Amino acid sequence: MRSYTILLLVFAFQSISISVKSQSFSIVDSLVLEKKYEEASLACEELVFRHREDSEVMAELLLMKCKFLEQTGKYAQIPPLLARLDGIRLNDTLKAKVYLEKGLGYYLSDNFEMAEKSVLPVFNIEYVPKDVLVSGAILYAMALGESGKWTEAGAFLSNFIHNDLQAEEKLKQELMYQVATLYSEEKIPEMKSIRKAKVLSLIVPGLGQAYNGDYGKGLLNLLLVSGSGTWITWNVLNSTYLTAATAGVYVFLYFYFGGANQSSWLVPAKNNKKKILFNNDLRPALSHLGERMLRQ
Amino acid sequence: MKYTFILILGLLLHHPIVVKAQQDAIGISDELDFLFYLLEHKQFDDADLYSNKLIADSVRFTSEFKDSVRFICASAWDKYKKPEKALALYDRIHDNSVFYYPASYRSALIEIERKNYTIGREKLENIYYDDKDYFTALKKFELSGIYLLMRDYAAFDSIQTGFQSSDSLLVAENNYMLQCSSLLRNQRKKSGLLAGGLSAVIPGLGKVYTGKPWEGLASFIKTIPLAAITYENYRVDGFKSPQFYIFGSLFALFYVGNIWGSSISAKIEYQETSDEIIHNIVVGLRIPVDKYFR
Repeated sequence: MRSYTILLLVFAFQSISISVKSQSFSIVDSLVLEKKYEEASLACEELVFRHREDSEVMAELLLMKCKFLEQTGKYAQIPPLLARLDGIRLNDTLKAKVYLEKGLGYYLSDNFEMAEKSVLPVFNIEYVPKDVLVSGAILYAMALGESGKWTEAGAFLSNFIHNDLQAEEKLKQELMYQVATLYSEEKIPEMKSIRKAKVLSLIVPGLGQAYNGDYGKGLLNLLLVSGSGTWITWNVLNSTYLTAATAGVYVFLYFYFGGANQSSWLVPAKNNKKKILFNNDLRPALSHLGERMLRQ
Repeated sequence: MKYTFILILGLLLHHPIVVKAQQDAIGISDELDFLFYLLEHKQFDDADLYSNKLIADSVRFTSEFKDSVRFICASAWDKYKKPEKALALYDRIHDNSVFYYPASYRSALIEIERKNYTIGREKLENIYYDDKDYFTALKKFELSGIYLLMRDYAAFDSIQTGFQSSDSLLVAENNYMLQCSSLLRNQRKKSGLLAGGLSAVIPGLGKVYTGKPWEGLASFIKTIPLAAITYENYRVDGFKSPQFYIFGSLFALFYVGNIWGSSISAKIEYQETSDEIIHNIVVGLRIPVDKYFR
């Protein structure tokens, strides 16, 4: 999952490294060539320390450091690192790159809600390079997908291609068709409702599990509830009333309500599984879509 | 004459030794500034890497400078709850460093916080004795605290007899430690045997005795119905009833479990109270050290 995203956002990385190279920070370059990312990260900080009066150079260096943090898997450190740029005046391009990188940091550390919020401002900036804009759109769609908001993601991408993407009309039509195919109703997995499953289980034990597709568990629950009901009856007939009233009722209620409560973890688990499977298919397709958007 | 003086000054300033000294002075200041900068921005991985580099550099930096680096980093690790890293650095600070005292005390405190009381005591005892009254009192205060944590009341009393300080904070903390000492000494351990015995007579009564009445009531509610059900099945169907054996076994399990739980509960209750007092002692030991070596 992560490698696809990093590959996708390599465009942003290229533009950063070119820009920083113009400042002839050769120490960082040589460390990157030797794949010494931790040392390169420290070298970036040393340069930030030296150039802390120059906000734009500082921003470029911190963005570069983010790439080294990604290489070393320290994704969670990216958003607080870039928070150091909060309140500092930057040009539009840098501002957009910072939002994008912050969003990527959140996304890679599985904080999808914050990833959504962090990327969104990219689309409100006036002058944003195409690669950053496209990367932002793809990342936003991915983050929405991780929260199961596929319809919203599809609508957003269509709208983005139609209104914001600078491309030939024919390509736009093709891309919009690709988006429509990716997020078609037939492909989007159906998310089951926990509440509905609970109510069904309360009406007929096991029905909620069956609604979620867990037929075996549903049948087992039905057998347990009916079995405990039979046991109560048998105890009444056997004149062991106390056993029926205490142990019998306890076991019956345990299976009856236990079966209904099972939905609160069975349904999310199944929904999550479906979400992961669909997002796993979606990610490479979105990556390819991003590449096509940029190929123009 | 004036021109000769300017010429000599100019030559001196350009002399390689003078220039080197100037560069070193500026360089070292920069290194520490940068280290502080990294720590201030919570770039701990970078700070770790950077401090290791500085410490490993045997050419540019003196032992005193390296001790400063160790102390700065150790204090940060201590603050951000990375005790192993802090200890490794505090313990390597030399006794001729200005940071020797704070490092030694803090190292001992970390050992105490990790319940390594013997090591903490050894570290405190090995601190070079200072003539200043303050350090004598502080060391006595810390040592007596460790003896109290080790429940060595004789050693605690012996040190407390000679404790004197003009510092109000230290005196206040010492008074608080005396209160903790009294609480620890007077803490009565409830008998696990009695708690178990009481639960054997009436299920849950042992837990009431250990100060957990609600747990006792819950045990009673769980056990008594099982006994009643077992009896009912025996009364109706006799020994041939499978339900008699099932509920009889369940009752036996809950009954024995409750006796065992009550005796354990007595120990737990004692441990919880002790832990609270110990926590307060440990916190109290840190306060004067943090204040004086701030």
